[in-house]
Amino acid sequence: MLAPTDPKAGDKVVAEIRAPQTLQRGPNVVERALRSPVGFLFPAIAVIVLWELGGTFGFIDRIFFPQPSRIFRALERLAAEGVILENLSITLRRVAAGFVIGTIPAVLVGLMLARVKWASLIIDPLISLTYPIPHIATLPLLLVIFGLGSPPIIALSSIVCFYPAVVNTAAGVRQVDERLVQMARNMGASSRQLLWKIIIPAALPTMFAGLRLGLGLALLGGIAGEFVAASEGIGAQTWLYWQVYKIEDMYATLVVIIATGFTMTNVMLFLERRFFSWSKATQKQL
Amino acid sequence: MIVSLENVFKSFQVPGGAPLPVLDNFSCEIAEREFLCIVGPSGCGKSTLLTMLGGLEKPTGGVIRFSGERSSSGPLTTIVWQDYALIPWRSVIDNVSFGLEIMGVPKHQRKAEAMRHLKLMGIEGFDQHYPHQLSGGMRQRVGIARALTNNPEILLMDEPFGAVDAQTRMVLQDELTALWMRDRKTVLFITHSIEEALLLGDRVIVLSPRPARILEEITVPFPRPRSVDIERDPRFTELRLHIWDLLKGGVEKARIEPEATSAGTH
Repeated sequence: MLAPTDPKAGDKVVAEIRAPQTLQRGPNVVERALRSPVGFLFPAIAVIVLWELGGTFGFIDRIFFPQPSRIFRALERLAAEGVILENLSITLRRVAAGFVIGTIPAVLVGLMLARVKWASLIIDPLISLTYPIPHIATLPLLLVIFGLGSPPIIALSSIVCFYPAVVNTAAGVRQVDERLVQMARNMGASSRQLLWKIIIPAALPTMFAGLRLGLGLALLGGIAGEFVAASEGIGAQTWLYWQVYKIEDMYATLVVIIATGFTMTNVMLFLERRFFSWSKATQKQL
Repeated sequence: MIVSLENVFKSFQVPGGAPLPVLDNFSCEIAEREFLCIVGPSGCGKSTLLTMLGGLEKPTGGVIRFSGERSSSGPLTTIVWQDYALIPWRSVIDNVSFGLEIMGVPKHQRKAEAMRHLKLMGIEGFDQHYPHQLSGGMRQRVGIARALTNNPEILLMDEPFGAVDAQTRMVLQDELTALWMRDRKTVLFITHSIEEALLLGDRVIVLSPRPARILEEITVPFPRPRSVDIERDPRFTELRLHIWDLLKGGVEKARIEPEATSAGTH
């Protein structure tokens, strides 16, 4: 390396680029903690701690916003009594049924929308018309049709998860790289081979993102349905505790619902990352 | 197997305009075990010619005929694509055996066949890699291995080295020449590069701008095996300049044309 030299007498220096005098600082402790794999928990923990302290020192109304420690004790008690597991399993069965019933036709319709011309001409307008409806608003109608209990809840769940699945499936199929289709056709692929070996695998990442959104909505639909249509299930339990004014127990069931939704979404995200890593990597290069 | 194109006409429907003729009354023949190169200006219809031979488009008029004895077990044609067209969710080995999978060849057999061609292309250590993990040159090796594994009657190559860097391109040209010397498969090779056409081809067809006509057919005089050394031959320079003279008018026309049409709309 050359040693830095002074400009010769008479030479006018126009610009200089040098190494910085001080070492550049990396991210500090707080930033590193927040960026760590469990970093997303810290803001939530901070809110819980503030909530707890606010309740203890009387800044927060303890009747409507009981301290997290009291909610946790209520949760412990309900779990010990078996209330949580029993109701959660009922809810999960309804949500799973709704998800399956909503998603299977959604995937088939989505494939047709993208591949069959007349299907898109007829079904596309129907989807566009019904998509903006708040689907939860169909619950009264579902109650009229199915009565009370599991059937209207499963129906609501399936309706709300149908839409993201259908839209994402059609989008995924429409985005299939035309060069791969040409390549497969030159290799002599039949329509069926083209569908199973090129089109569906290529559309899967987008399709699966729709299923992930749909699963979250299926839970939402299930809980909302249980508020009014059932006496069992974790959503029905939340509603019951509100009616009998057991605020701490109501919060405890809400915590269970949050944890369920969080787990579902993250399992789906994990699966996406595990199986569709090629998709992100390919997109980045294009 | 001989391929003959007789008075092939191809036009594309332009939305709200007159049909655009791409090939007009085009006739030529590809001989058995010939390495035929086609050079022509951008957009002249070279690629359309190739997609028609590959069975992806039908001519608007005329006929494309494959005649004679089959000399291979595979399909009539397999295309090697300029942008590789590798399947991103399949590993290299599963990409290379894709054609045999389509044909219904049993798994162990097609894997063995694919492995053999990966070795031939010098990429046997990368069978479990995915396309996005490979460089452009490596990807085209996979593309060529995939086409060879198919064992087609005729190999159609659509500017296969157009997207790789100049040095890799020279290496791949050498390897392709060596491979061709082994198998003597019929090859139709489309390229922009005059040098590439003279290095690889037995015969070079020079095309006019759209609609494509044959400006000249040149039999390449250099004996095989060839290397880049042929560029030192004075005949090489002569041929290169001759082809360039043929193409020059068309290239300039292609450059001026868009401006002329946009000026016309004002």
